[in-house]
Amino acid sequence: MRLKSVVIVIAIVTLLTGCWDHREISEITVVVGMAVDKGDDDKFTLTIEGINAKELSDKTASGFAPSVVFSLKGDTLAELSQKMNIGISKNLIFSHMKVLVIGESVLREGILDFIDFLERNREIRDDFNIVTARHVKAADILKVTFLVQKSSSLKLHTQLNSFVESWGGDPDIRLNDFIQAYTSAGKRGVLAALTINGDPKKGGSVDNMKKGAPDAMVVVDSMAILKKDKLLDFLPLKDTRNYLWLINKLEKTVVTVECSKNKFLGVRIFNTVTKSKGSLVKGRAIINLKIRAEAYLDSTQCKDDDLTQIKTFKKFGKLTDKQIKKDLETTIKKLQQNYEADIFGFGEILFRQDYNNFKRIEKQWDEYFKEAIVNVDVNVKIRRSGIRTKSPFSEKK
Amino acid sequence: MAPSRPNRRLLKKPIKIEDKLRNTEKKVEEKKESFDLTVETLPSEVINAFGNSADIKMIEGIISERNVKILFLESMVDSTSLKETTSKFLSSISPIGEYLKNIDELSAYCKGIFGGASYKIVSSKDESIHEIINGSVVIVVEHIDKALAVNIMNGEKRSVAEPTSQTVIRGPKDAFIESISTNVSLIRRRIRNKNLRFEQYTIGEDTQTTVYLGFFKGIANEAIIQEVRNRLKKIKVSAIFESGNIEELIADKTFTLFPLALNTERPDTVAANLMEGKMVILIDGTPFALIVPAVFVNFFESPEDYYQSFFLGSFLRMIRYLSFMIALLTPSIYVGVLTYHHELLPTTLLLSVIAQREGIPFPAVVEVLVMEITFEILREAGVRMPRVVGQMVSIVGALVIGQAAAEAGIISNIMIIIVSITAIANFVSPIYSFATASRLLRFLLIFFAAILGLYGVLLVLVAMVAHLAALRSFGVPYLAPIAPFIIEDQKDVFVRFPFWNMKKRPKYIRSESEQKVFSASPPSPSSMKGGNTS
Amino acid sequence: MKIEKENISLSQLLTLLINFLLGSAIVVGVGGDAKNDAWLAILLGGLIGIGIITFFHFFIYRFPDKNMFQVFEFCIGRKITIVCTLIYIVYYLYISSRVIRDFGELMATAILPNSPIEMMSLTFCLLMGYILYLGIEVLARTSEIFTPYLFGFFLLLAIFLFASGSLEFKQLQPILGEGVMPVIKTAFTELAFFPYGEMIAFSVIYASLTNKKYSLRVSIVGVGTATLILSVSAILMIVSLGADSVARSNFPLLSTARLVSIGNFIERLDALVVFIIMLGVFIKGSLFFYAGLKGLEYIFKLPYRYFAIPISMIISLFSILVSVDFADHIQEGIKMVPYYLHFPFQVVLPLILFLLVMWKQRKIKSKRKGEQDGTEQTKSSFIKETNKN
Repeated sequence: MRLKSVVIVIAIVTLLTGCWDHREISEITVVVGMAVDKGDDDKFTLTIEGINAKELSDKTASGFAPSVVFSLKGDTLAELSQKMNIGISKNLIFSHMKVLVIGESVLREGILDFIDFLERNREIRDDFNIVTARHVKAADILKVTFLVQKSSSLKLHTQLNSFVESWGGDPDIRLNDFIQAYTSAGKRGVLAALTINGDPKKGGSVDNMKKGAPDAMVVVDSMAILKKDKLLDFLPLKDTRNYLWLINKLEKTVVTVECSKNKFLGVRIFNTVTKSKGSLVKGRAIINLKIRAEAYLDSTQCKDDDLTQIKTFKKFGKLTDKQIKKDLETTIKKLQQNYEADIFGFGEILFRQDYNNFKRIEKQWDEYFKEAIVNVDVNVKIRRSGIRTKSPFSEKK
Repeated sequence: MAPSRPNRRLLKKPIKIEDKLRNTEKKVEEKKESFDLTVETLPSEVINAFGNSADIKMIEGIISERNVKILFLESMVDSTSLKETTSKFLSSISPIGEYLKNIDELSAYCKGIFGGASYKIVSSKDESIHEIINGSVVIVVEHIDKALAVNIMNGEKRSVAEPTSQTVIRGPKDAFIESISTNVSLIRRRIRNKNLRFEQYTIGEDTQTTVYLGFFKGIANEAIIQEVRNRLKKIKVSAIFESGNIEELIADKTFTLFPLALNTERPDTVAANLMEGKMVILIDGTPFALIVPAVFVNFFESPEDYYQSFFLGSFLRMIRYLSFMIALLTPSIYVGVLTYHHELLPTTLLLSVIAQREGIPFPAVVEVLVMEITFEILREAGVRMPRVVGQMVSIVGALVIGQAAAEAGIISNIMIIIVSITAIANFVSPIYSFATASRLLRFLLIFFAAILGLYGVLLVLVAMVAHLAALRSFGVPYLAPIAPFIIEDQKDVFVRFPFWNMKKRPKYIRSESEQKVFSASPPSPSSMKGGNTS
Repeated sequence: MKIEKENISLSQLLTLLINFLLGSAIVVGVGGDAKNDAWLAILLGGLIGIGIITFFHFFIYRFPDKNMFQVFEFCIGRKITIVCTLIYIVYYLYISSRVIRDFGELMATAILPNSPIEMMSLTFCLLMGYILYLGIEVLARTSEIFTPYLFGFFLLLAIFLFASGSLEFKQLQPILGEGVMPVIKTAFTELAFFPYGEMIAFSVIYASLTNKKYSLRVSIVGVGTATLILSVSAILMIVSLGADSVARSNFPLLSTARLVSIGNFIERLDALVVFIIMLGVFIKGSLFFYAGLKGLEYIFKLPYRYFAIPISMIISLFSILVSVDFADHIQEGIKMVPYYLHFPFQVVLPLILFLLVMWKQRKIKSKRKGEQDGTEQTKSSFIKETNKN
């Protein structure tokens, strides 16, 4: 009995002094977006977007700004992130971050050592999009309000995810992907690049989200390619899709195929798989890519082809194959010749499939990549053609 | 005159039958040498023993020139039959003097008057007091050294009604009442077997309460029966009023929130459990019977599980386990997540919770505690209040306190949802006493959640399971078919298998005979195969 | 004081074994040296583990209802045994503290960063003390109850990871890129001691088993299952994080769970993983603790329950004192413990004792051969007793 009372006393004394990690929910601000720009004198400018939760709920909203955007300058994000209360009233929690915007200036100089902070931090997870800002400051991206989700970061998160699903316009880079690309010898990193359409200053006001055609909008602009941690260049959106296709991450897309002069097919691709094989033969990398996909015919401007016929399906399928092959090869060529940057992870394919040979040339992979022979084999099967057979404009027979 | 003669004739038969009884009586006579029973002394002694209590009454009369005194407790005997019988007894001027030479003739004579009532020959003061307490009239006649006790205990009892706390939709609608003999008959009617045994105990030194231990001989484990017997015999208390008293006195461990005996007011539950090899303890004066040994999973079983389709039965059972977890854990998880682990909530949910809690002055723990305690007060008030007002309490509670508090911005809406779901889930438990466990443990969990977050909740949970694992009910491990794991018993734990499949009685009860279903084939419509031809 | 006999069933032994092996191994991740062949190394380690458990089994079953310390007594007499026992007690309690420290570090890093680690360790040890105060039976039953949940959660984690598309099975390639040597080296130098060699703690448990006939089979199944789970978890880590990230993670399984994200709703499963981990750690810590307590019981001839709460406080204290910081803790675990503690206590001493036992038993046998077959008789009487239980 005495023992029990001793235990109870110990327990109560130690327990009641506690509540160390206690953080009441009304005393926190949820950070949904982070932007890193270059500081003037210091290394970084950290901008965060903290949600004003009241404005996001229909019941409690009263028309004020949905979030607060605040910037601080300093040398480590670790310090800056905890110092935000210089201007912000509540404690910040970073566990629900949705977007990290890296400023163009930071990317160009390659000062990405803050990534370590993100990976090490227990609160920050791997479920936010990493993007870069082109032409504008990263901080501005977070300021632009929007009609639907109100907060810029929440909107971007949804927008980017939808874009991946519908067309494949965002490389969908998460922290883990970014780091894997950085550490791997056989792969280079990419990032989606965003920019603002319209006036960044006006975008920050509450009025912007009241308009059907906002004064400023954040749009996906292009894809940034990196070498190690330095920005090389931006590639147009079409290359983003091709990139996703080549690394077997494409979900759905629509390709426009020329079926006769200035007449196009709209082919909706789904269920696509890219299989890759690679080996080093006589000091040259050979990569064989096999793309298999299914498709709907979404639209046709070639009115003469009768879609009740098997041969039409076959013909359109062939055309699509050719078009895609051409597109993909263009993208690969571009990267081989202009940038020598293997964003497709061909090196990794070799690492996995031809480990011993690849080990030897690991260091000079960029040069080998430039010389690599990439064979793309595309086979698209058009399965069905919507709820009509012939085009309404086809000639009556 | 006229009716007494046929009576006398009729009396002869019973006397013959009673031959054996007489023999035994004689043996007793031989042992007891001195008798303190005389018509002069006994009544006064008895009345003195009762301290001249207001309800001890005596009727005097003279039959065939002999003094006759009738003693009884007015409160315990049935007044109409008393009036009828005493007047008959005293007014009969038959040649009674010839008959009343000894006690046997007296008893034979009385039988003619009192009909089927049970009677007993008493030969001492203490014995007669005992009989009087139990609702007998004691008749002493001059020159006879023994008295006759005739039991005409008043039959004032409530009629068998529907159960109030353990209702079912499908199944028998009768429930135990306060009279133990009625209760036994309710059970006996369901199990018409000579192997169903009841043993009588008188517990309570001062209250002299009748307690029955019932079991099915040949199914119930002998060792456990013996254990129950020993524990019942060991009870030395002054008063027993309810099965709850017995439960506490015979439980293996009392320092626990979990009931170690099943209490029920349903005779069908008792019957079913007897047939599984458990024992029942009936206590006079309460409609609640105890079933022992009881293990954790028994408290999730409702008789209805067996009356409805086994799909539904299994589903409902899982719902019960789920609601136990909900009742136990929801408030503490709410506190833990909201004050420690914001990252566990999806963003949209977190944001809407934050928006709701904006401006609420209390920390989450205080909010939970305030609401939980308010609810407990409402609940207690609802039970204690007079029926008419009771309705109002629930309305006032639900509407005024809940809604007004939320509207005033003192309590968040989500909190009200949490408290209500907890409360409702708590009522799912088929055995009311089991719900107390989750009802009280909840507060401990909230406390630890407030200090250590979900880690604290987990600690308490593990400790709770360990505590459960250490419990035993009459030697049977409390978590029995789960830990220790008995694979054969799993047919009736989380799900209920169809009857034809549950061939054996649960192993953990250590039944003497395991076979339950004799023909072990599923019902099949084989005889219907040719049906199409017609 | 009469020392009571407790019973453990086969299914309880199975769950204890599985939880024990998963224990801290799943917290810190094992086989990391073999990079993306870690899972192969673990499978190989599992084979070694089966060998080890068979050996312990064979050894301890020369005396079916004696625990390790009583077997010692048989070989070397009570006086020397007390010294040996003391050393073993220290070893067991030390490992127990290390296990608790592993968990404390996890909690302090990932779940409750501002709470003092002393707090975690104290509450955790109090719980262990409470349960062992209730008895090893209760521990066994608790483990029996929670193991299905453990499996369930683990399965859920795997399904969720799969469903959220975080698994890239090509990351397993190249298989055996560096040849078989790293795998073999990892299996023999790391996995053989941790976690498999640590099963020596079970040498005090076998005496309480009720059904000894199938115990070897069940033990092998237990080791096999645990190995499979460890191997699958290694695969999960590699294919979701990549071998490189796994190597850089302090708590790889936790990092893996953080990847789960399905439909923006099922995500952030840290709590699930901590639950998996906590149970394993709990069982493992408690078993070492129990082994230590049994030693004390042997020395002082008092029921071990008396020591449960005080010793739990000592474990709690030492779990804090064993190392200054996380790096110290891990390095000690990799560089010191296997060579200076695991090797002598798991391999050398048991082997010496085994040889002694063999020699002594043979001696007794030959001595009595002339008169009557004494050893045989005692042996059969042991077996009889066992069956009774």
